[in-house]
Amino acid sequence: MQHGALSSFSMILLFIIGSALFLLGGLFAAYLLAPRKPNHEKLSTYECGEQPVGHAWGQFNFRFYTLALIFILFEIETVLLFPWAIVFGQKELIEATQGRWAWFAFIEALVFIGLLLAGLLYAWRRGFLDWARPRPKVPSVHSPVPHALYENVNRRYSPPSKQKA
Amino acid sequence: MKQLFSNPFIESFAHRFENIYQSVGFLLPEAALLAGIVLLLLLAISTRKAYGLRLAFWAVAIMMASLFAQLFFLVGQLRSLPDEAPLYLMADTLCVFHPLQIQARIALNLGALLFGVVFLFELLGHYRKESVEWLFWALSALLGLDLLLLSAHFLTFYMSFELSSIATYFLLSVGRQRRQHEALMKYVLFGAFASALMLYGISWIYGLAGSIEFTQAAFWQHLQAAPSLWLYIAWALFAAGVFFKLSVVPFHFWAPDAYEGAPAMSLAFVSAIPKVAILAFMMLLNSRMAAFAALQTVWGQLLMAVALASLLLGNFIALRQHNLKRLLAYSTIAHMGTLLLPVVAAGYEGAEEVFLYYWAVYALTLFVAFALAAQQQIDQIADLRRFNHTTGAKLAWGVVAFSLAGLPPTAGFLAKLGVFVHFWKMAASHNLALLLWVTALLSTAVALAYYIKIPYALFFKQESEAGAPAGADAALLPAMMIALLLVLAILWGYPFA
Amino acid sequence: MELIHSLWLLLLMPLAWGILLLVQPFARARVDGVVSVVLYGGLSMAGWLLLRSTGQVPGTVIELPVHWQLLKTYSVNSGIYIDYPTAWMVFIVGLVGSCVALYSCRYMQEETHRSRYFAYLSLFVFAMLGIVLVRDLLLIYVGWELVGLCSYLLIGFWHERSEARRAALQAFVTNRLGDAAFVVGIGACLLLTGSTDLLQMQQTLPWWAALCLFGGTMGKSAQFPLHFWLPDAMAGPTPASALIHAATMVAAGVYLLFRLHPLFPDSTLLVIAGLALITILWSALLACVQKDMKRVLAYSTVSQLGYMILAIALHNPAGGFAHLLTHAFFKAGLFLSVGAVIYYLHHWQEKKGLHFDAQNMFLTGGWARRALWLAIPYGILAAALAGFPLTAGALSKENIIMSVWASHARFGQVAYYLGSGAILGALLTAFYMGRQTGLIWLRPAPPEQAAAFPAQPHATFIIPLALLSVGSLWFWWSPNPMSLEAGAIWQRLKAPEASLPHAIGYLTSAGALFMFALGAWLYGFSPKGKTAHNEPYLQPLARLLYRFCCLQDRVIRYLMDVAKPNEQTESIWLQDRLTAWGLKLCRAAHQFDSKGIDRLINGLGKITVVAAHVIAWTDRQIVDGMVKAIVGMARLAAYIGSRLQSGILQEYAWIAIVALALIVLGVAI
Repeated sequence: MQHGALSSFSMILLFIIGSALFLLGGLFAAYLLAPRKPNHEKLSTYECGEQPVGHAWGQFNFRFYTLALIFILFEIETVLLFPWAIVFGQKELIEATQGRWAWFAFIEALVFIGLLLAGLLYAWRRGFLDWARPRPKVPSVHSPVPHALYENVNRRYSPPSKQKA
Repeated sequence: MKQLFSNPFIESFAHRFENIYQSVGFLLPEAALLAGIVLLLLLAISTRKAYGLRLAFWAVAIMMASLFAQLFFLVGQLRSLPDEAPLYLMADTLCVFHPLQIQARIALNLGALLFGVVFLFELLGHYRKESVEWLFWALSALLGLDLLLLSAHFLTFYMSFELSSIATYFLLSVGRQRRQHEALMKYVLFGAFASALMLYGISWIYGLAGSIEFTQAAFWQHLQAAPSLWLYIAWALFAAGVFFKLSVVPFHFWAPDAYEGAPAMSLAFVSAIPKVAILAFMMLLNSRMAAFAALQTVWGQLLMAVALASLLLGNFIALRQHNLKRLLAYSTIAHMGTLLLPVVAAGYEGAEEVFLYYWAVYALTLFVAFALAAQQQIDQIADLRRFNHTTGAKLAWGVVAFSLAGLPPTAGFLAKLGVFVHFWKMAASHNLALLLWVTALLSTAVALAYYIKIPYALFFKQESEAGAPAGADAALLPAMMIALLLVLAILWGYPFA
Repeated sequence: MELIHSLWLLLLMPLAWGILLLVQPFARARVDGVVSVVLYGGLSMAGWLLLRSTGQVPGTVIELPVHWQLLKTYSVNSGIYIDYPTAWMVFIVGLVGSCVALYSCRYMQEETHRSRYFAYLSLFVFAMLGIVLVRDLLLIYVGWELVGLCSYLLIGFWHERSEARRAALQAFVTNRLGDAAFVVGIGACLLLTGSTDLLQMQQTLPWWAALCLFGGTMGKSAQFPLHFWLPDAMAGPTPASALIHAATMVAAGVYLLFRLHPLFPDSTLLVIAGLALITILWSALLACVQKDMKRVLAYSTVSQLGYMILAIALHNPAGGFAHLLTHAFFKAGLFLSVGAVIYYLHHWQEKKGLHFDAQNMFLTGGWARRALWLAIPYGILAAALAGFPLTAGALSKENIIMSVWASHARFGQVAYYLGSGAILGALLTAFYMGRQTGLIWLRPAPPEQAAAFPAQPHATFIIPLALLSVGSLWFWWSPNPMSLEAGAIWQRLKAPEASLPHAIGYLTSAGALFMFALGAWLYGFSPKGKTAHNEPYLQPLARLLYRFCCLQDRVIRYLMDVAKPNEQTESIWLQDRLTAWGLKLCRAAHQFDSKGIDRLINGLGKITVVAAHVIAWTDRQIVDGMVKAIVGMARLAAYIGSRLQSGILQEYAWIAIVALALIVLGVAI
């Protein structure tokens, strides 16, 4: 038992070492081969096409968490269903258990997917999936001073860097 | 298609599958719970409205039905206990077929049933918005705890542990005020921290034993061969999660903060129900170690040290508290310290009885306390006298204080007596245990000083002029009935040998 | 279910009624009172029937056993049993209870919490019946504590008065002292005989266990030195005092001794008898100088309880028990009649807007003329207490005195001392009853009260008084007015070797007549006593005794820390007393020849005061100091512990980890 456990563990270790080597190898190769002509755009953080604003420790919109949680559910589902799909249809296993294995595994998967589905439906029904845009509230000020005056002042005293941007 | 598996593997697989297939029936109690959870979910999906009285009634009905079904199956299991042969899913006799484990599961179930009843009464009185969610999380927590007791493997243990933890987080968050979310967030983060420590501890155990299938004798044999300091570290890290769940020192910090703002019903659930599962699990673990004296010493000493710290800290800090819920939080810490005594002395005869009785009394008492406090949103102990309590409610508060303090004529006295008498068997021959025994006794005396505040505030302080009217709540009725039961329990006499 | 099982109702009905009244107070007037009267009347009827059925054949015992498995290895017989004495107790508790309840209907009419009062009364009756009916000491102890609790509630019924609160607490705490000993005694019984069943214990107990058991009696029946709570318990409503003094609380102690004395060794019994004699004389002496009419009766109760205990201790259970019963009649009646006087005085006072102590006997008088219907029952009852011939009190008390003399056969010379003391006590009793009769009833009323004010006879007052005073006549108890020996109680319960010197009984009766007449004349007719507003005779002795009462009270107050007088008045009080005594000391030195005794007594008084202050100082400085130190340490621990609860999550995590590491290190090494 122990022996077997350790040997399968060593395979994982090999995987880890292999993947580390692979990654380092790729990076090293890129270091050797790639041309380096940096500019402002290239050096900025890659954010799936978004403009990187602020820094990463800032606050995120709370709704991201809901979506991320639901997303993770389905990630897990996928991760589980891959190995399941491989063992599910094995003819030898089905034969060895007089056909019961297939039904058993099938029902198990159904229950699993069904539960996740119910959760998704619940989230949907409760409107957690709707990305309701907050309506920006423009603050209205009733001031005796005309609006144009403020704009003039702003224009004159705002820092020059901003004007450039 | 190439054959994926070797022939010997297929043979052993077929054998194991056969066992699993045949023992699926033993999961019927959990299936009943799961069905309840799914039905609650479907109920929530079936309507567009998130809230509603009728919805709430349906939800309670579903919960009760699933709990009754579970109880039915559990009792069936308990009855068939001696006849059944151990099966693969339940790796050996000490797992599913240990009486304590089934008793603890029944205790969980009964506790939840009680909550169902009270919930129903509450619905009759005033309607709570979040009922469906609440029941959903309560059942989920229950499922997690149930599976935790069933687990034969540290990974399954961890999974079910987390299931119950997450459900608990949500239970405590339901119906909270906005500003109280900070304490809750701390609770969640601290819980994650403790759970990470536990996972780390499990990995240590894996490293030391080469397996985490703790129902196997081989696991314990390998573990015993490990050096003892490493064992201490491994067990201590593992225990971190458990201690967190039990809210014992030094993982107690979350309790007072989280209790303070939480709704009373959730609090009653969280502070009473999960403890029985965790402690029973520890007792079972302890009884597995029975054959390995060295391991048992390590585990036992660790628990005793923690119990000692909890008893002292819990009781002494409670002296300073004026907030009722914080007081009860510290009281919980101290009571968990006491409940660790039978867990430590699990090897001595009668530990299970003493433990279950103590837990039941403690849970019922807390339950009465929170049910009473919930009725009138009492936070400070001093607030108690602002309300015109009915005589029944006053008496019930008195029973709560007496029972928590362990004074006659309440069941709390019998429970404490039972624990002390039982633990003496161990204390008589063990220095640290003797110290613990004495500390527990003395801290019980200290505890009187703060429990007495409750009846004092009720009976002896002058009632202020502007007394708020007493709530005419239906949920007071079960609370008073249970308080009466706690007093009548003394009629059964000392229930232990 | 047989008819006999309905005996459980004896216990259940008062309990249920008490709880009902507590939970659901009746706003409508008199429902609570009337139902209580009927309920207790029913109880006494039941007691009467039981008395008939147990009285016919000696040794009849009705048993309803219930086995309560207290431990797995030890069970308690928690059923009820009824034999002859029990039936008597049921009867008397019911009778006095119904009289008191009827009387309370008027007396407590204007109370807002009247229902609560009746509830306490009912629970009190329940607890008392609990003591009487159960057969196991453990269960008796339960009833015992309940009686203590109910008396606490009743004495402190007017809890807005600080005096009542203090008296209630004092009664409660004093009883706890006795009960602590009682618990030890029960434990000793369990250890030594293996049983706490009254009917099964046969073996004689060692002296210390017997004394512990007697501790319970000492507390409940107010025996020296735990007697002081009873006079202070007068702060409660008068009918409640009647109940406490007659049938319930104080009777419990005597009843217990009655049941247990066969287990006591003779040496212990002799000690008990000695204590009882001290109680008799001590409290009779104090009763002679009281101004408060209720306190006179209270001290007299203590003294009479001493008689009962003396008799039982000297192996005359029949006499003691008979005195318990007759005393229940006349003491309840006396309280009720004196209570009626207080009731009318109070009403008159309120109407006139006057403020004086309505209970002070020296501030009133002439009640015989004003309310003859009250005076006649009072006269009969007082005669019974004083031990006049033809009354029940004479029968039982003289029987006790005679049996004490007769016990020299068993106890030797000491019986004569005890007997003489008992006679002296009887004479003192007659004297103070004569004094009270003279003061309240016979002497002319003070001028401002001379104009008749209404004291209409109320049926609620008359019926109980009539009942109780008729019960205090001899013919119920024994056909022969001069001897209890012809009565049923003696026949059933007497000790075998009884042969009594009747001459002593006759002499005592005659003496009592004389002393009563002396007291009545001195205070009712003599020129000095007729108009006195203060104790006119025996000034030094009276003052000393009176002061001793106050002093004792203060000491107890200190010891129990019940209500500390504030520091300033305290020091002034002390200064006053010290200067006063200092002056007196000088004067006494001048008159050393003539007043030597006075000086001695003063010196004793001073020593007592000093001792009291030393004790108080020790209590404050040393005992309190230690307590404070412990409390301070607990506070410190609590402070440190709660400082850890900083609210900062990172700190929690660090503390948890460090603590875990420390635990691992500590345990591993």
